[in-house]
Amino acid sequence: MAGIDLIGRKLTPVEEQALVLYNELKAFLSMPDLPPCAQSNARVALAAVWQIVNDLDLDFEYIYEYGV
Amino acid sequence: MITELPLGYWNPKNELMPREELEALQLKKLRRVVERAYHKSPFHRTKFDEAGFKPEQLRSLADIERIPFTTKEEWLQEQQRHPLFGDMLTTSPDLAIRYHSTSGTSGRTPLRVLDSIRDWQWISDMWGYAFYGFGIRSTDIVYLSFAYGAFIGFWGAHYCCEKLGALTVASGGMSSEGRIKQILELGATTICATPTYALRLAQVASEMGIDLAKDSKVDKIILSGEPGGSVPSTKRLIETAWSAKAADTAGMTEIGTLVVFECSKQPGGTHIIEDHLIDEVIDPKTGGKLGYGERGERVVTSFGRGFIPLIRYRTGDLVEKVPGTSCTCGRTFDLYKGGILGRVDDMKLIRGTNVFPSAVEAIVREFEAVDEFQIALTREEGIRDEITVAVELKPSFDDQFPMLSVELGKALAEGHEGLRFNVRLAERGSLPRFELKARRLIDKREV
Ligand SMILES: [Zn+2]
Repeated sequence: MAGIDLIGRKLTPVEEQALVLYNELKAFLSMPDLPPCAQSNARVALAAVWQIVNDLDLDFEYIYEYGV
Repeated sequence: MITELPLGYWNPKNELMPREELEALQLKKLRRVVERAYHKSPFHRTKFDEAGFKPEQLRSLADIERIPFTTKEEWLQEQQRHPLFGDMLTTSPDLAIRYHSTSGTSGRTPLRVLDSIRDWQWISDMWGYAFYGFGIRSTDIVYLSFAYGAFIGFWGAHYCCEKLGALTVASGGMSSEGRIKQILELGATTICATPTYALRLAQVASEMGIDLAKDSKVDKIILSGEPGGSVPSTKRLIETAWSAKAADTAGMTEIGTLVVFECSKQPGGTHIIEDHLIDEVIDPKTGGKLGYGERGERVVTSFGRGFIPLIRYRTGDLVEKVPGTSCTCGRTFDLYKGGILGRVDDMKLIRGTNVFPSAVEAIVREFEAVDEFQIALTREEGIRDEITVAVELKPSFDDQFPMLSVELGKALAEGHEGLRFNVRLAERGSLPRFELKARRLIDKREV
């Protein structure tokens, strides 16, 4: 459900923005023909933002399909 | 230089979360971890099936007891059956970026682990709870005194410090003398070391004519790898030698990172990172759950490591859990009173009395003259067990041995229901020094 975290708390503006970043990075990594420099750095970035999402209980998932 | 440590939380949302919400979060994560292990790891699927456990049986947190334990023996056997990593990887090994292994003591096969980019983000993040919680900030200069090998050691701490923005100094392959010179030259403010090695550095510095308490800028020490960080007398020695505050932490290769940390309030225990793992305390004999204030074996379930699920893993660590309210920092995370007290199988029975190496250490470290020590258990005339503590004294204390041996023998006996300890003087430099995983007890009865 949109707008709440894993334990049902309403998302703060910071948390909402963290999820936007997270989903944008996933979308970016799904694009075809990423040059190696873009793909490798975006993977590192996705892992870092995943950790924000994980720490703040916004989602709890595995992202190995993104090569992370 | 002793300064007041700031109170700070790496993740205030979770560290201050009411217990009911924290437990709801744990249940949610536990379900996902277990479901994934069941579907992705043949080792776990077989194990769960054999125990008649299905992931959907997890309706409440108490249902965790339906899940079978995993032991180190089992894990090692699985790695031998399916080299190198066992049939328990949940994703392609191509995604691994790091390999680590246990030290493989006593000629045994080491336990091997793989982790991905994501897993390493989590590993370094867990150290953030400890470092930020003990007052380490981007302006700190952190000196990591360890070998940087395949053993996990302070690797996660290293990346955490980079994440924090602190100047992070790696010292693999350096001598103790070289490290001391660099600590002074760079003006390091924080040291990471085992308790034994933190004392060793102070001793070597003293031999070099350096007083770290006066000459260094170190005001925080992060200890790990041995129980000494929560042994009050050992900790006091370290804090005095460096004139700094020391925090106990503990982790393990099996989980890839640390699991407990001491906050800046120094409550004499370590908080469990309960938003990223579940720690249970069980009776090592029956496997039954123990409550607050009862000593037993630590069993851990990790929510972080994804490559190799770690579910209800019997750590062999001896602990006593107390509620988060035992500390004044405000965290709701439970604590282990006195940190990791030792290993469940470290307990030795000598003439009917239980002896824990960490309890002996606590008493020996009360004696300022002692530089290093070793405990030896022998069987005399094939029947009578004897316990002998060999001590090496600091250079200027040699003539004190006769009196010290009497006093130490008395203190040890008083701490152990009157059990007689032999105390012997060891030649200077003859006892082993440790950088990691000090082993100060030798049980010659088993040979
Ligand atoms: Zn605390």
